[in-house]
Amino acid sequence: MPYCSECGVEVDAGVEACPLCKAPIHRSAECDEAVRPHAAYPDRIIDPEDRYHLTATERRRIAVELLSLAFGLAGAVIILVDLVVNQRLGWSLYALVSVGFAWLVSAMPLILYGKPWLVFTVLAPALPLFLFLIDVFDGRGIGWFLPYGFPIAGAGLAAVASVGAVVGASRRKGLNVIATVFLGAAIFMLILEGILDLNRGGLSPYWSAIAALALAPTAVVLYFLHGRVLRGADLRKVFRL
Amino acid sequence: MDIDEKPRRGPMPPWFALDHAAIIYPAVISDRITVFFRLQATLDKPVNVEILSKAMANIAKRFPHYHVELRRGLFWYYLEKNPEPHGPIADSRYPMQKPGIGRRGVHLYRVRAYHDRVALEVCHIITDGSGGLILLKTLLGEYFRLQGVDVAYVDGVLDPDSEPQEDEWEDAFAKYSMPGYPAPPHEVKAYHIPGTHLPVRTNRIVTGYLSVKELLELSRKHGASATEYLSAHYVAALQDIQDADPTQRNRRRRRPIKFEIPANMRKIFPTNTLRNFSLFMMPFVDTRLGHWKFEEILHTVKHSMALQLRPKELLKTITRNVQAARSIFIRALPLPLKNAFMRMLYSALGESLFSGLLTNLGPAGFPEPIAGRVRKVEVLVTPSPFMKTTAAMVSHGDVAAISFGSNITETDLERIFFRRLVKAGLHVKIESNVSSHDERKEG
Repeated sequence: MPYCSECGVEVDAGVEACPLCKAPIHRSAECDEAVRPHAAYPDRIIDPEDRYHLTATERRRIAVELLSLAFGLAGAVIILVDLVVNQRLGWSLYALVSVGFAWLVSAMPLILYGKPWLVFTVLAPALPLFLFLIDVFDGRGIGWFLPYGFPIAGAGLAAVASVGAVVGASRRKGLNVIATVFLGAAIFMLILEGILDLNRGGLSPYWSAIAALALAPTAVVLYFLHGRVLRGADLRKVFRL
Repeated sequence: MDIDEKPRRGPMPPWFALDHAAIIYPAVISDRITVFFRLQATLDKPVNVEILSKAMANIAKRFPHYHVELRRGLFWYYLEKNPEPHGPIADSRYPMQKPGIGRRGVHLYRVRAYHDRVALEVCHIITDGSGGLILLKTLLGEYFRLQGVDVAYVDGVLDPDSEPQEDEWEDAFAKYSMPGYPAPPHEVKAYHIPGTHLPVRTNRIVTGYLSVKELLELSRKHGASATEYLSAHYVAALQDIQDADPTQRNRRRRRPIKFEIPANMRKIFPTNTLRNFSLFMMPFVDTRLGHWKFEEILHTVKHSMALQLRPKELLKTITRNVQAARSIFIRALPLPLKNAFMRMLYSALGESLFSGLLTNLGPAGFPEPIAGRVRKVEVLVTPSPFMKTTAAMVSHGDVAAISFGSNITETDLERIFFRRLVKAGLHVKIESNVSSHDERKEG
């Protein structure tokens, strides 16, 4: 019977490598026995009884269908209630736009699974559009959208896109992802306070500067840990006395 | 011994509570912790699936407590009669996976056929290895009887036409619980071997076959039983892994190697129950004290088992398990909260306390003429996230089969264990469900 020269255990004729140490099993003339008619276990890996075992794609499709049905029903109920009570579409427009935006945010990552930039491309214009519609539906024309809504949404999206690009480009992901998020958040908060200050007629960063001063050094420490320590750098070399 | 004997009257109720060993399993069951075990018998001829299906149908009424489905109550899970028909299914490369437990009509055991092999996969919620072995023996007895073989209903082969006995579904833990007994001492966490997990819903089975005669001779030479001898080699293999583990360089900070050896309580506390009734012994070696030689480990295993197998000591654990479930605070917890509590308990009092496991069912004990028609028997157990590789053993004739179930890519434990046996002079033949070809494909 064939055996593993490393482990000293016998194996079935026809086995190519030792199941214990992976060493190849050398066939010899004395071991020229009939190969076992079938493997010890079958090739099938899915339980035939598991009728409900769905693939990941099927699960996502079902989730999108359920989300669409739930949001569609919610939208229909909102319209009917507003029409029955007020005989016109009034407050329901806010709710409808919100429901539509919530559907986009929840369903798009499932529909475009594995394509994060395509998800961002769809959702990025949707956010300012959502804010614009909310502003318009109050009946007083365009008010807060241009001075506040659009620039803040734009800054937020730019921060998300920048962080995503930097994270996506990094070859090794770890603490550097958190550090990049921290830096992105710090820059966003500086811009946010700047937008608020400019609309009030001045520019004097205060709370955003404090937040940035807390986040930026933390990010630097995390970058250092990621790039130097966790990569396997010898700490005794770095911190030698 | 003052034992609370309260035999139940009448037929099996349409629903009943889980036994005190099983109540923790529904809370922890997952794709990673399937709580299934498998008994498989390789026959002398290819399996006739039609006859096997008929045999399953014929014995169903003899095991009403196994033909159940798991249901969810407000405070506890319970088992209810499952009216769905049950037949054999094809085998799978990665056995013992979790079915849709908790769904209507899902059985808690399955029978698989593959060429000349019949495999019985059983969820621990309904029974332990001894109960499973009786189910397999009765199934094979009926399978051969349908082929014209004159089968004797002895040695665990039950007559399918006989009436189920009331005490077959009794909760033996509750029967032997002794209110007022002290709880067993608190245990510290054990060392766990490192490893990279295999993908979910896969596992590796490595079975080693050896001669019972050779094994017993060697064990007797060391003044030990086969279980003690093999357990000592298992602990020694774990020690070798711990010595090579870079995270364990500081010996003072090492966790002990604690080993789980389940024992059938039916031999100590008389009962006819076919549900769970086993407890575990826990020999351990404290590797902070230095490297242990094999003879020292064997000595520790042998005497630890003897001390822990005393009925009074066992009653402590039985009572602790039963009284905890009888506490009004536990009983009043709604099931979702209870599940969270059970999961913590499973981790604290179960998984994290053990480095490895070897369960030995002993001789399968098929009576003639079934024994002559069975070429070999194996028992497989599933690993868990902490105890990444576990082992089980059963023998038939002169062939003992030791099967390791693992959920990690590394085969260090199996390799060291079997190499130790070879070095000790035993002839070992190895089989696995994962070939080098699969690993190349997956890697």
